Amino acid sequence: MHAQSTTPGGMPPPPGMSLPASAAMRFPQPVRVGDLLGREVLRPVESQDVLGRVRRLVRDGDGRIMVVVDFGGFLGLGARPIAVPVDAMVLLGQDMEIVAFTPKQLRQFPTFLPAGTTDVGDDTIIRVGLAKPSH
Amino acid sequence: MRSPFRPDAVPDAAVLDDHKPLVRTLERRGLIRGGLSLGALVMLTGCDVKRPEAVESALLALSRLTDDVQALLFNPNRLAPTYPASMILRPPKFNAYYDVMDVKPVDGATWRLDLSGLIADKHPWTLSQLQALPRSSMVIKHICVEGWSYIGGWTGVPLRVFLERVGADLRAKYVAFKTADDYPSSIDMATALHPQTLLATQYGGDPLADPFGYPVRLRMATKLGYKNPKWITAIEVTNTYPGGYWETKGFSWFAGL
Repeated sequence: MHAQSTTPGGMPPPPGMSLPASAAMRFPQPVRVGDLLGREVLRPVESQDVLGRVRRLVRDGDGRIMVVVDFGGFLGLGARPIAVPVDAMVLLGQDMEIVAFTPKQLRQFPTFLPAGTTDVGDDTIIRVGLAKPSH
Repeated sequence: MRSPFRPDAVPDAAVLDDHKPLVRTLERRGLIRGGLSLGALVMLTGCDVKRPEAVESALLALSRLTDDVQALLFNPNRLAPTYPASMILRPPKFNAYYDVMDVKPVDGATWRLDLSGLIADKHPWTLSQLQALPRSSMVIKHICVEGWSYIGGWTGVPLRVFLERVGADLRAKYVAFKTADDYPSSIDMATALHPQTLLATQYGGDPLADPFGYPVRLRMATKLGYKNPKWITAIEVTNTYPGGYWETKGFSWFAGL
């Protein structure tokens, strides 16, 4: 009777589904942009590896909201900013996760350049999907 | 030197292997599982470790003993720590025994709260009836058995107020809950009557969002996270141990903080 779901938390979008469509399935909740800054960004696996930290949120030339993540490095050294679509990420309590890209894919992301983007104000309320913990 | 406590007939070491599946189903932290040795099992069970039922009942007895001791230590008037509203995490952290995509939202307009057991007035309640009762708010820490926590702000009807209103037998042992997501749960009456036990309908001043149990969930400041069922559809007051979703898988029933 208690059909325990075998789906772990933070699964990637189903093949062929757009990022906005997959984010819409994760019950997006309102969150203040300023409350996201500095959050740890985790990998949605049991070990919850820290991929980086949220540095800022911007709108790109197409109006999409991107999360600029200080990605990679070691103990804060050698990280570089990359822009990840907010619809590729989820809220996990005080943390965030990147669910739509693997670390290997993220390493191929270009280093973020602010030209052509606009900052999203701290008091802006945006909607971000959820996931259950992966551990 | 041979220990004077060593039993004359030593059980075959293979009994530990025989009981491996049972020990694994306890789904507990490694401490207890790792501490299970042949000797510990012998002491637990009065030496009869060859019968699997004996081992299971010994482990369950130990778990019940833990529950009883926690119930004894529980002070019905002592309040758990509270925090300033500025510390409320918005939105709260989602968790369930399934991922968020499997959440089935409940329609608040057609939702009814069914009552059964040792309750004088068993009429089902609508959401607006429930919201007309006196409410209370608390900013408390949600502590998960998995090790994480966050501070949340909850508003709702104190369960005590509700139980008194419907004429529940407050001397009964248990208050049990059924939910829309098939997550049965139950608590002791002392905790049900504690001032920091709410039938919560709001988070951070807004109505509960779907993933967090709209329209009504339980929030207690004095128990672990998994004791707080969401999307409650029925309440029963009973003297028969009702168990719960994780409890039948070996988790502690009292689960006090």
